[in-house]
Amino acid sequence: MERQKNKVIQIPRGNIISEGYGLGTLRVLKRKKTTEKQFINLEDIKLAAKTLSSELSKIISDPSLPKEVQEISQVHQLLLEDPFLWKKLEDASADGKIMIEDYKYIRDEIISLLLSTGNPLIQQRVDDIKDLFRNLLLESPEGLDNLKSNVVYSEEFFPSDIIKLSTLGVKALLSTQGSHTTHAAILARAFEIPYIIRLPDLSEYEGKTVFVDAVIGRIVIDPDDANIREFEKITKRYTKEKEKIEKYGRLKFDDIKIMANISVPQEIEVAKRKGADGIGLFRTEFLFVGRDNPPSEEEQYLVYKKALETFYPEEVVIRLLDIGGDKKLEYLPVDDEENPFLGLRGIRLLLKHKEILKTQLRALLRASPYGNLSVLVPMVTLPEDIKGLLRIIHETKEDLLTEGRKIGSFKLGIMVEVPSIIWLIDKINPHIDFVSIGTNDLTQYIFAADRNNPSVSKYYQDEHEIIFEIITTIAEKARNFNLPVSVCGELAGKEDAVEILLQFGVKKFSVSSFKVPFIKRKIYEIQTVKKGNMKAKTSDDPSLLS
Amino acid sequence: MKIRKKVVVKNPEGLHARPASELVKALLGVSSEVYIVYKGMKANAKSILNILSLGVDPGAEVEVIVSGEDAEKVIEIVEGILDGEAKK
Repeated sequence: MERQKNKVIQIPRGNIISEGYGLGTLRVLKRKKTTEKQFINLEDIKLAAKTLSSELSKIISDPSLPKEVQEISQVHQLLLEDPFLWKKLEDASADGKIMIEDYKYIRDEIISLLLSTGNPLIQQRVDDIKDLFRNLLLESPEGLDNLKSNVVYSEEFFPSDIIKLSTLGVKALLSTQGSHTTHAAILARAFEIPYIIRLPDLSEYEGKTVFVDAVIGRIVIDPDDANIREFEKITKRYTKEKEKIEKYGRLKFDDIKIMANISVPQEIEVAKRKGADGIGLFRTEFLFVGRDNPPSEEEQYLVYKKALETFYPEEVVIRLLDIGGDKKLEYLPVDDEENPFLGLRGIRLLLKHKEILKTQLRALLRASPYGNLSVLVPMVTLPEDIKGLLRIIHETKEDLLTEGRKIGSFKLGIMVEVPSIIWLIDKINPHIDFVSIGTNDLTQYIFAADRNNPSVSKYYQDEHEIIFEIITTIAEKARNFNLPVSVCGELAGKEDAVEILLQFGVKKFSVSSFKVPFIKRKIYEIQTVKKGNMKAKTSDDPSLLS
Repeated sequence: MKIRKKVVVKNPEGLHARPASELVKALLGVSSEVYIVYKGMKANAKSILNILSLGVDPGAEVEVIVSGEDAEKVIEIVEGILDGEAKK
């Protein structure tokens, strides 16, 4: 029976690793299978290592490739030459042969070593080890030519896959496994290949046309002709725009800031490259999740310091740990809640677990002398939340000063995401310096609809007129108190919403790094049309927009 | 010559892949033996796998042991990388 056309799979935004659109035939990445043999020759492995290492040398010395590609290739080259690895392989060999079981045992032993560190960033390097062992066995992908200019599906992608696939002009990558911090993910972003993870098995759709929307988050399988024409237009327009868009990142406006949302430290450099006027939302959850113990004060301090130094003198807004709801930590026991999204989340949880809050505040305050720090408080519902926090900030300051530490000035702001704040801002105003409207959660709470739940997706409308009304109200109230307002939800990254937000007095937008040049271009166009002259100025190239 | 020195890892990435590879690369032509001791575990600083398996977080204190003729020069290189300043 003919399958239904236009099958749509909705994707949560969190599963998008690298943004963009891709239209093409779905091809499944097949790997060569050589592991059926019982033994492998040590000499063959050495030869494979030599060949791979010389391929990597070419990549490392190619200045036209993104910095991330060279750095990751360097790591892979050093893994290929690692004395610890070769000692293990040599010890396991007899008469120049290694049993395949022993080879796998060595791989698993090394993987266990990395996993046992309990450090999430090091644990992510397991992918590189799997990649290395596959490549040494020449289990690299086969028949790559049929992937050319297509959408590629694989259970998981390894760093060397991405490097190879990037040269084939693949349209998009889809996988069942993966995470934002793997080297494969970093490379996909560096090569700007749209990439979505945590998908169901798509291999049954091999050969079908697919449209990958890694911007909003959907995959359309086997679209009909009318839809294909529409998707071709979207993709073509997007590709054309992408070629021209980068230069807009260099624009600086007199009174408007387009900042970046950051979720992992690797994004700091990307945001800078894309032209972000600072970091509008530095999510700190990456420091806390996937480990057995909370990060130390020093570990946090060094990360915050790096972000502040990189963007100095531009503002860096670091959000306090926003955990609870669907995000839980191993070492922070929270009773099961019937409605976790209406439960112990954000600042509510931090005020209950002061030890975590205090350590984070100490790290932030120690980084504050860099001068461009703003601290953002999530899930503020009542003035008491801020008053409670201020008491702890005061205590922390006293402790640090007693220890002879330096503290600089910093700004304190709240996320506007719980509806109560719309009416309570007058009471919170004396305690804060800015507000940041998190439109994603605000929309969820206004419409009582989980944005990741497809059954209620029609209720989640972040461009509904009442959301704009709420933003206007907040902006007006904040203006009366001289509180700067920024918008850091997805709405800020929607070009059609930007014009309305500007009319409401929003001067700061925080969007994913990738969106920065798009939003800057939109603002440039609005200003040019409205004022009839160029309000924007470029930092280094006056002919930029000619 | 043998030098033992306690060093705080100030590199904001700790001893993750990039700084670890920087360290191994910097020690490629070095004749001294270099070890890093962390939480009772000892790793050969010329092996990226050994270094990664220590799981050193930023801000942690490690002990660096260098033995060989160029030990003085080598300890400076190692300190520079652990300090996060080597690339500047």
